Amino acid sequence: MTPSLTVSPHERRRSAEVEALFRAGDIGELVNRLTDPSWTVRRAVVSALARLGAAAVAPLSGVITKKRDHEGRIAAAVDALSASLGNVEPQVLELLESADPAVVCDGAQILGRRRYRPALARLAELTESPNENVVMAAIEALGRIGGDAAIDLLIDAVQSKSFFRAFPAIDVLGRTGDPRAVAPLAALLDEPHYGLEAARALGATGQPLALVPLAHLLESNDDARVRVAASAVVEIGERYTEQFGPNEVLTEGLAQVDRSAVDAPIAHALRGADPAARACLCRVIGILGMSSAAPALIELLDADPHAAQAAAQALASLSADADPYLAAALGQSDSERRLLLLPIASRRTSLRNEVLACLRDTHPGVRAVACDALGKQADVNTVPALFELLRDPDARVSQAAVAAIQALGGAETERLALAAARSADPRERRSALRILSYFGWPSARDIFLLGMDDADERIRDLAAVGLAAIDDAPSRQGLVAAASHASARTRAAAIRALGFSRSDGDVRDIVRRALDDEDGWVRYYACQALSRLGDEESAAAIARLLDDPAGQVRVAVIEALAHLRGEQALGALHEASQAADYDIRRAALLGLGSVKNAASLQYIEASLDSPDAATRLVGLSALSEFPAQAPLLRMRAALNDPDDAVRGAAVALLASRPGPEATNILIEGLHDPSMHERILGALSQPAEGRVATILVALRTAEPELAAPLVSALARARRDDAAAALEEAFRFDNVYARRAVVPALAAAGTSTARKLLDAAMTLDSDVHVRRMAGAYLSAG
Amino acid sequence: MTLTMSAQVFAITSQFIEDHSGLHYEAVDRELFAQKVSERAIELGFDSLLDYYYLLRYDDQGGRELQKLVEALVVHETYFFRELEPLRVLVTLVIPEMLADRPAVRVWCAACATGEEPYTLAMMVAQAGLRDRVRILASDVSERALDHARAGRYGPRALRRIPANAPFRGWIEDASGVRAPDDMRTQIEWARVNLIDAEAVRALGQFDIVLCRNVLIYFSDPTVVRVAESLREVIRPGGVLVVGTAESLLRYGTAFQCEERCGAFLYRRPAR
Repeated sequence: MTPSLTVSPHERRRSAEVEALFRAGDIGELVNRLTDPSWTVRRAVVSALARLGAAAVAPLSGVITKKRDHEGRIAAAVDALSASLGNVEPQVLELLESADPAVVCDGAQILGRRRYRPALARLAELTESPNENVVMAAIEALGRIGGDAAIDLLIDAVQSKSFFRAFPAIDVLGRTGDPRAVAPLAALLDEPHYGLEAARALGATGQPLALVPLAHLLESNDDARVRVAASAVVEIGERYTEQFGPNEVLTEGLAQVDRSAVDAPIAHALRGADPAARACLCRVIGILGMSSAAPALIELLDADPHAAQAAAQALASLSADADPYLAAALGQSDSERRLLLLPIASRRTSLRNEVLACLRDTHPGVRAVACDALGKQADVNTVPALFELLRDPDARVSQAAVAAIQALGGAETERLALAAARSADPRERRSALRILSYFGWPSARDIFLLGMDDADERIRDLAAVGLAAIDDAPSRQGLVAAASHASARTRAAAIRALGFSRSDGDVRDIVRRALDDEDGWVRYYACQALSRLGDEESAAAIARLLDDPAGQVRVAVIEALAHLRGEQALGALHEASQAADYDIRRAALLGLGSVKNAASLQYIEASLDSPDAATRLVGLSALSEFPAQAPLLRMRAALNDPDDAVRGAAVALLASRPGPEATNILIEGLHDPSMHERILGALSQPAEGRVATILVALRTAEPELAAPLVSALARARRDDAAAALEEAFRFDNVYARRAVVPALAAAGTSTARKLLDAAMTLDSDVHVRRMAGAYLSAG
Repeated sequence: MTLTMSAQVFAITSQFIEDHSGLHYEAVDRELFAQKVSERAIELGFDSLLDYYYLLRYDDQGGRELQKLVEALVVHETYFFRELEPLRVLVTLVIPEMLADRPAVRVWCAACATGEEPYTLAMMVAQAGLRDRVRILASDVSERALDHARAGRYGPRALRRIPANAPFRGWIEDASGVRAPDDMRTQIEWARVNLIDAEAVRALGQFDIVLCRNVLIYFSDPTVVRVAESLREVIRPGGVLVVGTAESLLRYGTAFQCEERCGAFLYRRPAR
């Protein structure tokens, strides 16, 4: 890191001084430093004052009431009081009685951030203040505090029709995500002053209940309303997916939309929309299957990447009615647009001729993607056309043609491949050999044997692969002969291929001799081949190459020793796991994972402290080979690894680990927003004791934890998880019950409905009763 | 045709690429990355991406092959008059201000891809009558992209965002698109530069303006910091750095001062 671009030495020094002031309890000086020009230092001051708790409350309140000449100081004081460990509420409540509206706003903000429920009544009064800023601050605070009473107050504010009270409350009410927000917000959709804001807020609720009123808005002749409705629909889909995983909520929620009423408004709104709205409109078009919008979507493929991607996704989801538009577009578009259209065409067999025409495009990328599309269309009649591209001058194209032919197969392929293998064009020959070796047809043996004498080294490489695929006596003889070829590359190819052949004494002797070859790659493949052949007797000879001058050989030795096992091999692997060269270390770790000897655990664990992220990742994957023994503390630490891939591997490892401990570590990890989604996925996977452990956590969970735990159960979509949700709905913990309500509504089963029905009248919590009622009344 | 790439092979190969080119890949990019690497590996006769990685890492040919792989990995998607506002501000405000106290201004387009940005700038500078007083150096990590840029031939897609009255004076139009006039092609100095090679950057000398747009998004945060510092060193005090509209250096606490000019954000190196 370059000092000038990160924390400067001065900032570091001042931060250290702040820590010293904290230890000395010097509140006066800390308050003086709330105006430090550095954000980093100010954060340190805020943290120190918050940690000092009660003693700092009065001086900080004094800043808010008496020293209002510096915005930065006031903001920092509000932050410190919001985060304070002390009992700040009595003094902050006094701020709400100030004659200065700015002081009242700060007080409301602090109480909202501290979720101080006893302030609800006073905050409700403040929503009727003549000062707009105070109204806004009070409404924001109500939204932050949440809960049944706050929802009621916000609904009152929304329905008040007093503009400065209702307008900010609309947004805040939407963000609560409460089902009861839907009806009052939907009632405002036709109001000229509130309609757009209410539509946005409906999106923020994430409630599928809001889809019906929003769908009506899609019929509007006003572009702005259609765009906002589309954005809100998409937001509901995203929020619902965050909560319950992949679902069909938008498809189901918009199933009753009258297509004839929305086609024209949506198509009109698409023109001139900003990129974000365009992307949402495309999504809605795709969900509604509006084939008539295909031309507009095709035009959008030239727009900004975000909209182009959305347009491509929408086109892909349209029915066969859109095929004529796509066919015309493929025929008339330039190469760049064809690149975007071809992946869509790959699932539509009616576009075969248009895709075939793209094989002649001047852009090699188009030709390659067209090959890929034909491979996916699974029409063997296109095989001859693909063979034409085996000699394409661009490697991407010939590779794509080979892959497509391999995917299609067919009776004609063998004949065409044998013919192409005799082509005068070396590129075509190489491609044909790839196809022949992939299928391993014995009819190609003579061609492969001839190929071993070809002047082109790459042909000889491929012929060796083909001979290994056939693996009969003449083929092996050809490879044995090639193992002493003058070209090092051909010797390497032959030795590599012999590693895949049936092991006999002659083959092993040839490969063992290759360990002494002058070329590093021959020795590399000799190590690999001997380990594949399971030649335990060669372990000592392989181990002698541990100090080979060629790096790849040293790595191959480690890999080979891991496969060959034995005491000597294990010792060498342990030593290599601490080598200076990270590649050697990683190879050793992979080997230790495959050997699965408990004595290796300490070496694998040590690798998790490596400064090299890839080594830690490999170490973790080696650890996964010891499912019952891998130390959980190490896995917990890996969840906080600075490298994302390592954290992901740790989650995967914990996901499959049985027992309550692993589940509890995953639950702890939910506090990290960057890991939230992955951990939810892991918690929803089946593992012994998983559901039971989640249920234990739910019994005492606070609202922040209850919601994701319920989400994990809902995403699991298994009987045991569904039963757990029903059980959690009977818990004393009201936060668990509140979190379960939307999950039961999402499940939509008859049992879930019965539970909601009972809860609507019998649950002890009014919030649960009302939420259940809201869901049931919406059907 | 894509060879299998495990998470481990992805980790070591992508790290190797990042160390040598700055290109950063996340786990979600694995499939695309594997596809690009496979093309090169298959072309060389490998059927294992780990074997190919060892070629890059240990073989004498590794350096040359790495350059070819980077060529295959870099994205050249751009077009003429892309993100126009900052260029307008440079040509109408910043460059004239600089020219008030020096005879010429030196501009570096630090990641020019196939050349649309330096040609756009050259056209705008010429239209403003400043052609003789603005020297443009354009560089990219990809030799293939630079060959394209030097040739100056462009198809319709590169021209898809042309504003009305775009100053394509002297450009030759044909059925496949347009071709830059010879004097403009030679007026721009072209060079292959790897932005994470601080020595190579330093060797270019000092600049009044550096355009480094839509490339930082491909780098990890530490690499962005390194590259920004490297660019700071070659920008004269008082000179400016322009990054893409989707990019910002503010969250890195940069030594540049961010200023807004007519809706465009510039990062100015403080004058001494």
